[in-house]
Amino acid sequence: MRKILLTCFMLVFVFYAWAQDRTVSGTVTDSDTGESLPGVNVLLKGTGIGVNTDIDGNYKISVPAEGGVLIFSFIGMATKEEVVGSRSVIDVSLQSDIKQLSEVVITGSAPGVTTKTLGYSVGQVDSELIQKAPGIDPAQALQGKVAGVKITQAGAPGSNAGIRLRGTTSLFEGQQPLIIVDGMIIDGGLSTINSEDIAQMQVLKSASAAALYGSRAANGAIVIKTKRGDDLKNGSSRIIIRNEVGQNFLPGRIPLTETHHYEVDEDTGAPPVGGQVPRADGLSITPYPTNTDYQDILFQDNLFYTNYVSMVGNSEKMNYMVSGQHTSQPGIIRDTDGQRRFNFKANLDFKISDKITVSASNFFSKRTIDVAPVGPFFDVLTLRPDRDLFATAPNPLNPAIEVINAKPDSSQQMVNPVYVLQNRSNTQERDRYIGSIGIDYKPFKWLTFEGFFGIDKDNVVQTNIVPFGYLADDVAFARINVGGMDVDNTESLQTNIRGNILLSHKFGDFELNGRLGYWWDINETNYFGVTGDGFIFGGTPTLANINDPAPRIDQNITEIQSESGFFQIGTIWQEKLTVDLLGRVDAVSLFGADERTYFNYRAALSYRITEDFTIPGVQEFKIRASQATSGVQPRFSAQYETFDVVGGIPQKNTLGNSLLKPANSIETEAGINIYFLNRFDLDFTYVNSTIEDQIIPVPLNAAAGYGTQWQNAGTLTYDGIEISINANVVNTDIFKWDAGLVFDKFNQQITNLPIPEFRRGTGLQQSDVFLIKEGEPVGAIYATKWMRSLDEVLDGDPEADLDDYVINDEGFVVRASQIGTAAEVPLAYVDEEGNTTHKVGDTNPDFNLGFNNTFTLFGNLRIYMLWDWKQGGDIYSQTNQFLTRDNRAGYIDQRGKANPKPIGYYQAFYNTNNPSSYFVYDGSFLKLRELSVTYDIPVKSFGWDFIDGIQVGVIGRNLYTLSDYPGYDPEVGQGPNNVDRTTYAVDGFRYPNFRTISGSLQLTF
Amino acid sequence: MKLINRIFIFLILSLVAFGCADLEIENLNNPNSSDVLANPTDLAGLPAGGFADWHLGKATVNTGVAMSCNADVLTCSWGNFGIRNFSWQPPLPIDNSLTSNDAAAIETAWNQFYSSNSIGVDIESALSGEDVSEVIVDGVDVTEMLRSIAYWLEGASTAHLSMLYDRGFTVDAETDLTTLSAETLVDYSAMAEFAVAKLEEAASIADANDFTLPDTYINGVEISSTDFAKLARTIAAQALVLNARTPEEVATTDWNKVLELTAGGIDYDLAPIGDGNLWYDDNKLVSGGALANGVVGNTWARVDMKLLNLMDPDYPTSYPADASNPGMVNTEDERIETDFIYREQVYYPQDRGVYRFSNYVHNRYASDFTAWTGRPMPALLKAENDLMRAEALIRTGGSKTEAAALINNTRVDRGGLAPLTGSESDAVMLDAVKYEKMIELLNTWGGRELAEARRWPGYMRDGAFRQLPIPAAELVLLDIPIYTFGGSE
Repeated sequence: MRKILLTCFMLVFVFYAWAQDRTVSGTVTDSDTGESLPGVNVLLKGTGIGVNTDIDGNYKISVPAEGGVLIFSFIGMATKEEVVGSRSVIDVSLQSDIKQLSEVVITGSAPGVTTKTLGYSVGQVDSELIQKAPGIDPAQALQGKVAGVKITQAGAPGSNAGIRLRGTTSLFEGQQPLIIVDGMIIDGGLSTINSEDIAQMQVLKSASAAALYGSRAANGAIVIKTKRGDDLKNGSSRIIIRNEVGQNFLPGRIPLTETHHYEVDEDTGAPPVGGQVPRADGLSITPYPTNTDYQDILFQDNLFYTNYVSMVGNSEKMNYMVSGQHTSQPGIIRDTDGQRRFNFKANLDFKISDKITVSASNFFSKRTIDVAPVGPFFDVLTLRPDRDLFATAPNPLNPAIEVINAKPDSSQQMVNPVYVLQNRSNTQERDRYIGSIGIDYKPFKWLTFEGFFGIDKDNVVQTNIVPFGYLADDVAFARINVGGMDVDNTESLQTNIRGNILLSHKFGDFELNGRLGYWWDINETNYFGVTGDGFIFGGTPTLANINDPAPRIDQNITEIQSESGFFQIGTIWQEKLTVDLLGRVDAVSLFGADERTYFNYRAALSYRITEDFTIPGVQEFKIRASQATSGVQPRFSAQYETFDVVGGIPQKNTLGNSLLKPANSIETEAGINIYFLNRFDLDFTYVNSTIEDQIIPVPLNAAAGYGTQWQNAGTLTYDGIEISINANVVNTDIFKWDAGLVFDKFNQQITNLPIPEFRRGTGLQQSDVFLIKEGEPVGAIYATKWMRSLDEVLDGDPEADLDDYVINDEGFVVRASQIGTAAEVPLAYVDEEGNTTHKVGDTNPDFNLGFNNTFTLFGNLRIYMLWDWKQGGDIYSQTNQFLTRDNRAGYIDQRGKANPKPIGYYQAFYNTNNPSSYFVYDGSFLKLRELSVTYDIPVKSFGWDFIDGIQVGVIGRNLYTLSDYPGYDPEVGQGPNNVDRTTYAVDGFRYPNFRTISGSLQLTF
Repeated sequence: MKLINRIFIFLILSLVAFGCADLEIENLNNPNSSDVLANPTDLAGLPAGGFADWHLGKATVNTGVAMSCNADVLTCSWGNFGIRNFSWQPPLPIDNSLTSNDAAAIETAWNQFYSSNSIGVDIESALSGEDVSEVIVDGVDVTEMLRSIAYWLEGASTAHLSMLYDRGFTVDAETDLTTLSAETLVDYSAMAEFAVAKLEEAASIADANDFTLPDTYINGVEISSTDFAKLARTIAAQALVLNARTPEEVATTDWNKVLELTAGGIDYDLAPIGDGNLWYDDNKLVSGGALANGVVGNTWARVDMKLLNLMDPDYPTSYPADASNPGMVNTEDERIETDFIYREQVYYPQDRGVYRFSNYVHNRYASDFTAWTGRPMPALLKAENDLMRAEALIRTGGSKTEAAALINNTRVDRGGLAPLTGSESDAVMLDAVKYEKMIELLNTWGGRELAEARRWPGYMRDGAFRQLPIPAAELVLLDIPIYTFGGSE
């Protein structure tokens, strides 16, 4: 892989040499405005000879007698080539090109500061790149495209992906960045938003970039702007109809053994159900008489589709973008519907006068999710393989009816996954409206008033029903035969109110911009859940049908208010030296009563060297540095000293803390941006971040009655580099190759932890394999470590006679007396101090690299591919640990092994479900994440005037993965939002990521 | 100028706007501690939490089951709740480290009982403070009831801590929590003394007043002041009797005090009602007959062979090494039918040790259900008071006839065994006490099995721990080196 990349980039460094002897002159103008362009680079192709246009856009250049080719290039404009021929005057107009280092305004930067003059790094993904393979979840659009962004796919349709920007910022509060859609800060993830409407995603990955969001910004922010009518030319309109239909696949299977280690029943040839007697040699070498891989029953190749229509128009006074999208993504699990989603979007902008514009954004989403609970993933892998999942038996409650067997192995906990999926229902209904209205009033050229009001209303109802007559006991809240149900309703409302004053003035070479702002945000949630067991009447799965015992109710209400005032100053001198300053004060109800305000700042500086110095082959060279602070807010309940009330009974909760304040991230970054050889755009950033005053539950003396108090204590640091290179590698009329490469590498460490070290996990049963300890990174795995060298024996027992130990063929230390016998077991390492738990892994990768390529042939056939490479970073496979417990893992099959191992050998690795080094795997992978081929049918050449474009395409996602990881996919990680799924890489029977291949048809009118 | 004025007006307006937000947000989900402690009506709601914490210290799935298996009263092969690690053969030391996977089994009881204690301390402090002089609820003065409860919670929680842990703190309203340190730790017998004093104080207030604990305190059970005093005295007696770590220490028990306390102890069974929230008893489910993993006939814990051997001396004390079924227990005790169930199959994997096998399940309390909601959960039996009294009578040279009658209450009435007359030798009668305490009181509350088994000669195997260390997390806070118990030293 490394070689391929190197070769690609070597190819394009070509040097030129030539001679010349006559003069050509002309004027270069901007095709949009008609204004002349000063400073355009005019180069005689194939030589190092070039000039710049003067202040009026004029140039004069010597060319050889035969003419040659002139190349006109300018930042933010598409490069143009002109054959000189016999001409002596060549006037050229250049078109803007957003792919180059353009003057895009980055949300949160000081007014007047654009990407050209920005003093810090931001990531950006434009519509063009997103629309090459528009995913159902927009988080997919960021994978492998922005340096420093880590996304862990969620697997289950409709679930939010885990997102982390740069390093770990928090020990307890998760890593989810702020998400801002059309100006609204939204909670609840990206998965309700559809990709087709997105015009641009900006990733404010640094504290500097996100400093505008103050005490919520330490995890960075993702700013999404949706398409609007002003993307079109005045007076025009466009209708786009897009359909995509495809198939889901799960390409791999987890290897399972077909053998067991028991004596068999002479009648059946299989071990009995319950009361199995192990073979004396303990070897799993006897195949079950019949073998079914239940994975082939659970996973299905289902069809999915997406329909999308949008109408866009722009008139003088008004523009609009209205769209609707319908998606059905059933996933890959039988008897479930997956996600069905209807989205509607209406963006309207009115230009009331030259001074006043009003913008409205509206989004409504209605969706239903029906996915499998965890159970079936466990059951299909652990159930003994000789059961018939479709065999029927009379229902014990009503023998007249035949039902499939709920417990194919009555001696074990596994339930028939088919029975579960056919009988239980677990659905989520979600209705979400996000709407905002903004008014800009610009009384003078140098003064603008902005007002903004927006809401995000979200309602999620989760209904989990175990019906009357249900014959298994795999659900905690239900009873065998009489079932039960659980309904959880969460309503949330976020309100954003904002006012800004923008000032802008030029004093000669000096441009001064300022902004004053006041923001007021309110976030309210009301959750209630009702759980009951024991339906009285069958066929009526309602809570009203339960009375003994009475259903239990749980409720939780939260409200968060915050207000902020800030100023920003952007000063630009001669468009080359920029200073960007920001100061913000937040007052937030989440902070302790004595620490109600939080101040943060940003100072950023940039200098465009190429404005003062000419560097051959370099069109733009900017150096930049910035420092900023931002915060992580405490959770709602953290500051309060309360009693927990459950069922009316008070219990001491946490000790209050009126001094609780946000964790404070101080981030310093420095970097360069270089645009060179008219085709390469390089962004290099070094970042160093310290996040102090971590919000952690500090354990208290038990006698206080309060177990913990949330305090500001502990420090995390990280540093790292990010590199991104975008290039028009080849740019001819026939063939174009655009490539983008992103690379990042981070090191992080817990530098101060004033509380005792403690374990953390994903929240799943016994997943606490990570140790939070000073000097270690977050993501360090501590476990029982199985010895692999004889020296290790002496650490724990200096008196040991090494002749008593040998290393077996798998590299583990075993007792010489036991090797090759039924008693052979690996031995756990004990160090000199007697410690039995040791560091055995780290989930943090050595580096991440994404590489995207677009090849365009004849202007209308495009091939796009995105490769994603993660090097290093361990995974803890709880799946394999349970498969070992139940003697089902593929490696337990001893047939044909030269040195077979007894079952007790593997049971030792299982380690009674305690963390064990045997289940730590290298999570490196190389993925072909996206591949799409699109073809624009040349409708105009057919004389079809009724249509502007027809595009057909084939899209593949998750097409190929190269990895040694033995699970479905090395992208693992699960758990609630306050768990960083990108760091806590535990694989525990989660919904696997799957492959899709689809066809698309897009009509443009 | 006009323009500048307009700008200023806008700026001032935006500053005025600062202050729109209401930053004093109440946590509506949970009552504020200081409000509760200052408000008489809210204060009267607190005991419910204190009683629930006391109950949970004995009823959660952690601590109890693993201790019973360590004591060879129950047996189980599953790795959950510390069970397997606490019952290896030969025994291993308790992993009392910060990274221990068994931390919950070590610290749950510690935290629950101290939480209960702290509510007692809160009530005691509030009543002796300035905010609350008297508490009137529905026109009834409940001040003395709350005072009695405060001492009761302090005493009962410390009593249980003294049975489980080698050391601990004794905390009441006089204690300055900021001074708690390694130096203020006291040993288990001093904890028991403190507990007895507090419980006697609670009992004397209850005896001197007339009140009724509402059924929201100990869920589902209304308790008169007289019965509440009896409960206090029975728990005080438990603190003394179950304090001994070894058979030798039994001799140092203040048996005269036990005699005095049990004379006024409970004459009823305490059985709170499950509510599906905090009032549940997972210790009974996992120790007893609840289904494990939904498999009919499969249960979590089973009854250890050693305990079955008490019922049938011919029954082996350990499972046959070849895993052959030793068959059914042959006993006159009728409880083998009512309290126990024979299971032909053992569902534990043989790979985890045949020594963990047994064919009997104790299903007296939880036979066919997994939720306690609405069901009574026997938590303390009159029989326990009777048997403590019987033992005290025998050991103090008191009336053996009375002792025999107390033993016969369950030996004959429930077991259908031949009655004792009082003319038997002390050894025979003590053996009968041991038998009743081990069989009749089995699985009534978590932690009891270890506290009982360690008192009788020859019952526990060498190397099994006899008490828990202070949990590692607490030791680190106190800056005491982490230590542990158990393992073949």
